[in-house]
Amino acid sequence: MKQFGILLLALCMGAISSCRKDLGIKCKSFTRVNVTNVIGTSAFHLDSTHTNAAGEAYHAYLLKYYVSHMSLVNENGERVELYGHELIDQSVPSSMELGDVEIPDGHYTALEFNLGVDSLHNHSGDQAGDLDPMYGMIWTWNTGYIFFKHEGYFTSSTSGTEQPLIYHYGTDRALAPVSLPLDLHVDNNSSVIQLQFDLNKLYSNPNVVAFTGNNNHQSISTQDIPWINMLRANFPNAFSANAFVFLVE
Amino acid sequence: MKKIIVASLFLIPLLFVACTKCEEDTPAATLYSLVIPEGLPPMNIPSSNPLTVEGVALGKRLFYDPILSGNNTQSCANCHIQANGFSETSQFSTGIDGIHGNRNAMPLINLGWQTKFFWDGGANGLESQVMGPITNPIEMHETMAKAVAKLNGHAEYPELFKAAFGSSEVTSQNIMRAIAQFERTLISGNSKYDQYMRGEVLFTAQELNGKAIFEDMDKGDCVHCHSMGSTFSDFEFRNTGLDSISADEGRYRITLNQGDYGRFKTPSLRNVELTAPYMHDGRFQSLLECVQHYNTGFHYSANLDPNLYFAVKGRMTQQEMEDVVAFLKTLTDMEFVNNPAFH
Repeated sequence: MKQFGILLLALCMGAISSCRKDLGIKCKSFTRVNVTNVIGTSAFHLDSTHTNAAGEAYHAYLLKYYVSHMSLVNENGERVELYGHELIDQSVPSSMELGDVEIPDGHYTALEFNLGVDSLHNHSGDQAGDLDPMYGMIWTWNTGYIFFKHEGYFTSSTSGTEQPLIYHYGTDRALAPVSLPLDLHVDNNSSVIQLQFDLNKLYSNPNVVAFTGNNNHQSISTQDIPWINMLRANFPNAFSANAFVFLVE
Repeated sequence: MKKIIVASLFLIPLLFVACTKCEEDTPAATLYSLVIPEGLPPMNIPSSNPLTVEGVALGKRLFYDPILSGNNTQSCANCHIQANGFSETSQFSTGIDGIHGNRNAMPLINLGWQTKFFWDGGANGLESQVMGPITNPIEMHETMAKAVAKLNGHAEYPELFKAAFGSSEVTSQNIMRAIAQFERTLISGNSKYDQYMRGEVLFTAQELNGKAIFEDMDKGDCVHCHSMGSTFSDFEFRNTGLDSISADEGRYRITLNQGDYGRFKTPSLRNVELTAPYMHDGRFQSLLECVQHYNTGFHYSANLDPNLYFAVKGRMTQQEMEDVVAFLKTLTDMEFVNNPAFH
């Protein structure tokens, strides 16, 4: 709480001295990451019907995942960590706006993060913030976080009937590092990074994951391991990032 | 979920006003002085969750409050009964929906010296363990989110959480921490065995003989896993040959390592006289049945613990087995079972 107070004070001082670019007074540069879930070029919506690469119609009533240690990397390879562990929940719009972070000026060429919870945080429920167990993203009988949860229904390609889909992706082996190219010049300016997650790419690039006969994976048996390996390989290709700079008057 | 900074800009004027009152904040909770009985080693308590008088009291209240179950009918204490060493006499406990699983409720004794919890070690901290029974559909069948909401809406709990943790906002973290604090106080260290070790009482000839067989590598060899001293367990995971093919995956369920198939946590033997039935599936009713199992009853399999693999079947006589049982009964601690601080 004390540190938070100091932070507030620092912010306050910054506001009082009010940067003036025209007078050469240094401004603080902030960036923020906003996340959007998409299907190709369309927005993803819960309970809307989409079609995956295997040609199966599906809809999700729940889509949640953790991104951790999201960092900007500059052209010299130096990292600035923006966030710790963040839970993205399609049903909670505020969870998809990760908030302002002050960053040093520089030319940033990559956005890097993990899909999932790092192994230091993955084995205890005694945690707060987005890792609070009340978000239902933890296995309570075998302490570990569910990194990615997609629950919904799909139309079976063999029977033509609608069937449930439960994908609970996790365990340490499932942590998926993601590195996305970016071109962000920060010099006395603030910026927004748009991070997109394409659910259909998760199920197709490069490994095509069909739901029929493959609709219940909870990362609890050895039979789930090939599925984990396929998704882990796909996750880096399911994300993309673009940066936009605000000009400060 | 970080709107804090933006929101805080509006709070800055408030901050300067508020800070003049900072000194009047809730007084910190009072540190709980945990008395470790002579003969037991120091307890490793996580620095993130020091024991406090208020925290332990809150944990005890939560432990006995059915509010943590889905339909407010069962508390932790329904299946963890003090008179039975915080276990229960049923083979399998029945949850709020009238269904039961396939494992026997574990006793809660000297938990502060243990690092992994549940028969398969699925929880590696006492705090994390708390979520298991609360959320298990066959046990208390509640979600942490609803438990938090119920406690936040309760007439008394927010104040109790404030006293224990400095904030009246109930969180799942502080529910876990409070119950873990209470559980760390469930210490048994005044059994006849402890009194004997401190030189305060004498063992009978039979108890002495039982102790010798318990320790004798060629006889009972119990001490290999049920280490003497503080806890009477090594808390490792072992296949004790209950079946040649275990019906329960055991530790394998957690690690997915074939070698862990049918392995279960070595339980403590403290108060073992009171914690029947025995084994992960409660298959044995008496201590003599347990000793007989290790003497002649165990089954061979690829995962059988090496200590048993090399043990000779029938190495103990009937009298020697009964002597071991007499020794095991010296681990009964009536002070623990009747301790008013625990109920």
